[in-house]
Amino acid sequence: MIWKILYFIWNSGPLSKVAIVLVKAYQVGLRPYFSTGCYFYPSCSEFALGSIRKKGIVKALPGILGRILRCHPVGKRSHQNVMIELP
Amino acid sequence: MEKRVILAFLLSFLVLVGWEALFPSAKPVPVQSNNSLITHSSSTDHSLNGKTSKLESRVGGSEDVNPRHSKQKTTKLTTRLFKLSNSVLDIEFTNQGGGGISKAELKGFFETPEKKSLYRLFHIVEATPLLQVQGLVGVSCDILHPDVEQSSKSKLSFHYRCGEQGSFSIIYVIGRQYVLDVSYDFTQLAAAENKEFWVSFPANLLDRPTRSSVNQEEFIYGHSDDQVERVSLTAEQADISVNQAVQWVAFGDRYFFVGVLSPDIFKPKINVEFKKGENWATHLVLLKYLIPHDLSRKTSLLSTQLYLGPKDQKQLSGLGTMGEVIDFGFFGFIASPIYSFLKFMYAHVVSNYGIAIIILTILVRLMFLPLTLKGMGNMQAMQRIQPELQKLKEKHKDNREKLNQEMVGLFRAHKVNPLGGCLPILIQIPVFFALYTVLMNAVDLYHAPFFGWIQDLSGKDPYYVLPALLGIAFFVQQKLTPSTVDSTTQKVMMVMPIMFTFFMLNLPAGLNLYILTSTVLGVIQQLAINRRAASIS
Repeated sequence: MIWKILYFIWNSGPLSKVAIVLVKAYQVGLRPYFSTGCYFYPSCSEFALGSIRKKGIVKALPGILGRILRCHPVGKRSHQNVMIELP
Repeated sequence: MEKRVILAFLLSFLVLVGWEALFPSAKPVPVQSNNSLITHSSSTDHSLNGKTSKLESRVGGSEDVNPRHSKQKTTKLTTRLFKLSNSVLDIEFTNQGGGGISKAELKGFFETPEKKSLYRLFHIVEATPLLQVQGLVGVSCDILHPDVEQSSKSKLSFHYRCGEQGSFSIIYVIGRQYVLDVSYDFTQLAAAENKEFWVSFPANLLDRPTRSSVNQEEFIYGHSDDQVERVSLTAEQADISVNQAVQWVAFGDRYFFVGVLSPDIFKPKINVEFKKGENWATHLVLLKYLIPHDLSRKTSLLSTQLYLGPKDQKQLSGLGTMGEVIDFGFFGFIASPIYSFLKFMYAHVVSNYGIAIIILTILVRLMFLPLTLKGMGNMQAMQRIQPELQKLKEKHKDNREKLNQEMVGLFRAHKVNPLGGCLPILIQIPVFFALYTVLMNAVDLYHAPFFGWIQDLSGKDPYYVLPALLGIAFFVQQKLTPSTVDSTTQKVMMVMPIMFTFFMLNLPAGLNLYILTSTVLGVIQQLAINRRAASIS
């Protein structure tokens, strides 16, 4: 598993590398203390990792930002359930 | 599996070591350099003419360079010291090097928490005092042998003769609190009109190798268009070359600074040139003042203000944009109200900064409590259904539609309905970082006692009790927190408390106290949720 992550980081562009490390750092260091649960499945950070893996950070960024910006309790739709949005 | 744990340990160790390699905390090593910024005459015998002609030639573009210290070998000037003081400041002046400020001590602050000796802002032993006169471009003046006159406990004048042409004086008056008024009087020197007058700052002003590595020495200056530039004086800093108009110039560390605020009428400019590979200590920062042409009609003196003291917002309120030396970083707009609140708590509620920090932390956590509670419950539900999710994924590997439907059904059945989401995290994190910067930079915490062994909330915990407790609290927190991540990430996460502890070892005790309180509250919260979850199932 850890090799997989390292291989994945190795194989990405420099910007994507930075982004992946940041997201991973968030998952390990910040999420346990701050997370309030995600409205989506998979969670925003996993979605981010997935789409960086697929398209690279530059193309993935708008989607990731859009997703995070929609992930809050205020809005037209009442979030009764977790929504499934795969990267 | 065990191998992976060891690997995780190794990797995190690598991160620690790598960090130190990438951002070393070492100070620049003093190197003797002969390349001084300013030109000086090499012998005092012709100091009167020699110096100014050198200055002129320097202005004219000559690269002729003579270090000041070679001149000192031939000078036999008896050192005389003078003192100005008020209730908060002790300033010592010297006649060496043509006169200037050689030492400043703050009466309200101390070197160590034991409060034995006063806080020494700087003490310059070489003959390059602060605000040393470097000359008047184009006018021959004896800038090395001033007549010093102390008319009262709060006023000191240096008179410099310029041969037949007249004389000029510098008048130091110690004013309110941490401000020293420095006035330049050129009314007796008609030749000075439209000329440039140069005074200097030694670049190693606050260099104190004995102080801890969290010192953060900076050279800061405010442009005339209200922009502020910060140059950190570290070994990694690249070459600096500045030659532009400024409002103020300052040298500061984390809690204290020395700065000159000049009036616009002077058209002050600074000249700084630091070359990589040389030592900061051998350089001077030049302040170039342009003396106005209608000198005779000016009734008042040309006055500047020298601030020597703590980075305290209240003290700096009357000093214009120089207040911006206090830097709470990117999230300053959140940090400032937090800082004000902390000060308010100290002044009116508890009079112990340690307890004030604890109360502040509790309030911040309470603010986010509704969000956190819901989030934690949700994480638990997610963890419960994790195995079933995996099964579903296996089952409907090829049919995405079906998988989605089944998953939605599963979430619905287990009442996984988050209240919060990912966006609120982005709001919480800035608050966290703002608190961090406040506790890292607030001068109010300097030597502020908590209780027992913690006598200085701005210094590290002398016995590392807080970081150790923090590590334990982190560990407990992690044990309690339900996790949806895979087992490897979980193993890595087990290393995190150890890493955090190492990371926090040398950071201020106040900061440790905040994170410890926050984590303990998190543990209590988690215990409550776990109990509730247990009673439901």
